[in-house]
Amino acid sequence: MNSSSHHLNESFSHIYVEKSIRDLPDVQSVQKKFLRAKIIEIKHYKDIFNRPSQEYREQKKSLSLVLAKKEEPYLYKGSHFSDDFGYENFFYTPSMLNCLYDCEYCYLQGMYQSANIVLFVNIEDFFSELRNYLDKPTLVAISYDTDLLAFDPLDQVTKWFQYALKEKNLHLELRTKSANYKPLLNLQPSTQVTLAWTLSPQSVIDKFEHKTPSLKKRVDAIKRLSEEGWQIRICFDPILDIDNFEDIYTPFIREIFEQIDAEKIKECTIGTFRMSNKHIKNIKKMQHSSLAFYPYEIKKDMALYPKSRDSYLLNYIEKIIVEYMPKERIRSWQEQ
Amino acid sequence: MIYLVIALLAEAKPFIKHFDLKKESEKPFTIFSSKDYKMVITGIGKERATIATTHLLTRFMPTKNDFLFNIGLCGAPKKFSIGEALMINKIYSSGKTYYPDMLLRHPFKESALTTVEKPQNSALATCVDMESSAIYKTALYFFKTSQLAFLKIVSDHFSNEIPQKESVYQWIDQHMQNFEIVFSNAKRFRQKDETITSSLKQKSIYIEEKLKLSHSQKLQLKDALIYYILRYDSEPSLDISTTIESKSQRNREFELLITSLK
Repeated sequence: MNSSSHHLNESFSHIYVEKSIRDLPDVQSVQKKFLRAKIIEIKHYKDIFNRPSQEYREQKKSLSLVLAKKEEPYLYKGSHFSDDFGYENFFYTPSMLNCLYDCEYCYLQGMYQSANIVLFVNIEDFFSELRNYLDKPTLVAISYDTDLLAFDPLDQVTKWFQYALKEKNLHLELRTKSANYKPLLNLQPSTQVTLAWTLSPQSVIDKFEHKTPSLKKRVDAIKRLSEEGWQIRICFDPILDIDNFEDIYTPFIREIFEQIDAEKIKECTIGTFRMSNKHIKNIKKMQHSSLAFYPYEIKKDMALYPKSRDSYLLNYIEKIIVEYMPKERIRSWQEQ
Repeated sequence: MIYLVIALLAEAKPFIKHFDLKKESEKPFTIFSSKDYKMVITGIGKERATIATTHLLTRFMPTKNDFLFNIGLCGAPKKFSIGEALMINKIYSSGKTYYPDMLLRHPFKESALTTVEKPQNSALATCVDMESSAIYKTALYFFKTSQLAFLKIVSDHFSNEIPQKESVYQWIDQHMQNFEIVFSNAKRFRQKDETITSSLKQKSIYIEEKLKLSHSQKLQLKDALIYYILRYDSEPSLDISTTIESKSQRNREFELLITSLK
């Protein structure tokens, strides 16, 4: 805890638990990891998560954990803000809502009324629903409205990866900024899993990606896991239109590929900042980050950088990456 | 500012004395105050609590840096001792449940509480009082869930006995040091100040009038000002000397202004 917040409880000082799951072994196991936490019984997670008049920014300073049982649906169609990588079925699955990290560009702050973390304990129900779609190649993003590797008290990453081994048509994407790679060292690397690391220049991390691991730690994690044989995707996404953009992003990209062997990287994705206009409007109310107030163009209810600027940023980054990696392995997100 | 909402004068007196609060008004509800505190005496029951809380908070409109405490006696199961102080983390009332955020650091045990209509003779699983749910619901018109806290002092184990005033004073006084700690923590509970200061707002209004800006241009200007301040951590200088004679001239001037703020 930082010294400026001694007047607040530490994060996870309180755990809200749905009454119906109170005695489940997984719930007990999470509680054992937070022995000092006060347990407050609730009927339904939405009773705490969806209360009116919550203050997202204040809750972010002292997070509570909510343990709940997810009801249907367990899978959601992949967002058009994300790449489907050509899969016929593309889903994301919210086994957790919200994130330990506090990135100023994160849409979650505009999507949810609460910053508290909801952890769904019934992962088997997610698997059951997924079975209905596995007659076709299916991509599931398992770390979507959260960063699952950063906070995974139920080892759900391991459970997902082990499940994928049984289903040949299933491909998983784990998107993360975490440096917590050790749980993965115990698992057999699989071609059915892509570990997707978001990388940003250290100055961008310092300014906008609060509470996240440093660039060095993320790069170390990538190096270690690529040596183990895991498929890695590097995500330069979101690229931000910041002052001195070229001076900051050029050495950053070059340094990444000096440290990481591009041959060991499956692909790179690049994408500029974009967000639903509805979420941007909610984030603006907090008056917390300059990123929300950039003069975006609104197109199909999406806030985007102006077209010419957007193309410039993407092309600029792509030109550097192609010095290290063939263009076919660079995927770019751009609104058509 | 710390807002104290308290049912009975006997419960309020130790705080009035300790924080040297002065009576500010008597009708329709007695209000005591000092530089840092506003206190209202509500009387017993949900209806009075609702009206008195509304009275206090409309008369002294809170800001987002303020905090409200409801403090008072409660009946409690025997696992809690008489005179023990509790922080309430869940309030039941009439089939509904309310949850204050538990952000504020405090030294007390925590408990759920049920707000009842009448004094409770038979034992319940939770603590009981007669005001908290009404205060929570009313206060949410003025505050966020993170700005409310409910502190209760156990006066009985579901008996009909009315405690002596001296006992009430003693129970509360013994926790005064801890109450002070919690109030002090609440005073540090400062949310972010408005990004646009009142002086910049005045300048901005002057420009809006001078350039005869449309509604959407006014919103654009506000966003541009916030963008500038959050980026550079300083206020822009806003100077417009031009007199506007046409819409096209206005639009040109406006575009120049917005560009200067990027």
